[in-house]
Amino acid sequence: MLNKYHLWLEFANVGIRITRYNVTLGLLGHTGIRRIHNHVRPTLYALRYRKEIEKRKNPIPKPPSHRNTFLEWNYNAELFAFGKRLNEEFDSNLLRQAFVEKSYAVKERLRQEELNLNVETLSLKDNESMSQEGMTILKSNLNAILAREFPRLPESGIHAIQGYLTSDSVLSNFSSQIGTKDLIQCNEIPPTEETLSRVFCGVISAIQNSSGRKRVKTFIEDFVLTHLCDKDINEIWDVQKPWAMLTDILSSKGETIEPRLLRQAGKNTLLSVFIVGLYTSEKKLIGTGNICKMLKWLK
Amino acid sequence: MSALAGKRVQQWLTLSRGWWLFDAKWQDPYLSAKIISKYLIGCHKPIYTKSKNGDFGDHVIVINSADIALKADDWYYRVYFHHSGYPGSATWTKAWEVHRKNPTMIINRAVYGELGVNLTRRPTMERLHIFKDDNIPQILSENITDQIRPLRPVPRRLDSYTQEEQNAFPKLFDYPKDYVLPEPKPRVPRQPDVNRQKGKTRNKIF
Repeated sequence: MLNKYHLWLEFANVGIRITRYNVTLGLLGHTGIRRIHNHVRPTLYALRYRKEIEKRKNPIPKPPSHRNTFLEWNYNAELFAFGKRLNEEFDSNLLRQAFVEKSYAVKERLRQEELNLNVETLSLKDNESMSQEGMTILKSNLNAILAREFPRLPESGIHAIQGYLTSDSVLSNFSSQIGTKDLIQCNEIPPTEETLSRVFCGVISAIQNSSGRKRVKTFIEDFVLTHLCDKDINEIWDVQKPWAMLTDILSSKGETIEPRLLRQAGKNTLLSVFIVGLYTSEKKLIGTGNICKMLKWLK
Repeated sequence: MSALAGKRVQQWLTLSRGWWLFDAKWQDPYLSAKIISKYLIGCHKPIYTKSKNGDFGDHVIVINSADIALKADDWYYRVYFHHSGYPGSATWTKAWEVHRKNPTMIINRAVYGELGVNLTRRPTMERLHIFKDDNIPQILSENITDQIRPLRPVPRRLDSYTQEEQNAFPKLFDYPKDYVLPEPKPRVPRQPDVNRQKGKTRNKIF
């Protein structure tokens, strides 16, 4: 039985504010309650139904396809935009070369030979030499920057950080964040970690050969070194014998360590805490722990 | 190994249990109990969370509990209720009687009442150590980390000043040498209200 109150509700249910028809109080009930809207449930049901129909139509999941199969793809424009995004001036040929994987270049060459095309003029240059060059540039720059920024860090520490920052997993992460994923010309979709890291090194080599050494150094500082922010050094650098390392460093300066008990809590309990300070002629380092655990660490 | 070492140390320090000393000399036990209960529950720590199974509190050692100072005439009019379970065995004991029998009882009950009514109350009370004077067993005194600041500053008794200190204190004026000081009046301790009806006390049940 439709009455004027029902009509009112029909209009009120559209939009953000909803009036709830309270049986006892009529429209004088609570208004404008913040809740999940009435249209959400049917929408989700409809979407789910459509998804199931799609699955029934195509039971095998579609493999991921490259961005260039979708609409509005202009490779030249994308390359240009890549350079502008990074605020770098690139030699376009070098940049193009940096994104070509060796396996893809070989495949292209075979395809061209099949089609009896002139291979020398049309062959794609791959980024193998560029990536190797880029890796050496990256490593040497990182060494210099880390040695400058952390003068007191021992060589093994610098080596560890450099190894971490030049590892495939980390470089592939940088690479995909910059937006190389859609520009890479390779056989696999999506590109592998090694491919992405090689491309990144290729880009670095392209920067040096286009803009110079200074430019490459600032690029590495801005894009690679910034990833050290908020990272725990102990997760990157595993020191096997910390005490031995510490004594070696200090003995080379002619100093010895003197451990002293600073503070303690609950000495006679199981959950005792002892804070020990390591002193070298009145300069304080810090160390803490239970005495029994401390001894283990010392060994 | 070293990746976890730093984190292990930080964990151990954050979740360490402290031992606090509280001197209850001439302090109001019920106001002190509010402070002590906060340390026992762990509300003074930033890691505290309100949880039924949580266990963040520290130990508190209370000394000089025999010298606490109850308010006004609470020593006579504050009563402590006890029922042994048998019919007709409800007792209301005055504070001075309880204190005479066990000088740690009053502050114990004060803190017990402040902890809230829940199952963590009894285990939390296990971490409260009360001593009637300042003789603490060495095994406990070695655990102490810090002292809780007393609520009221403990003043010096006039009779604790030595003759040297009295002489050194700057004097504005003195009696003339031939002045005869009157006899000091005998100090009579304050008597309870005798006109009150026998057997009926103001039942303050705590």
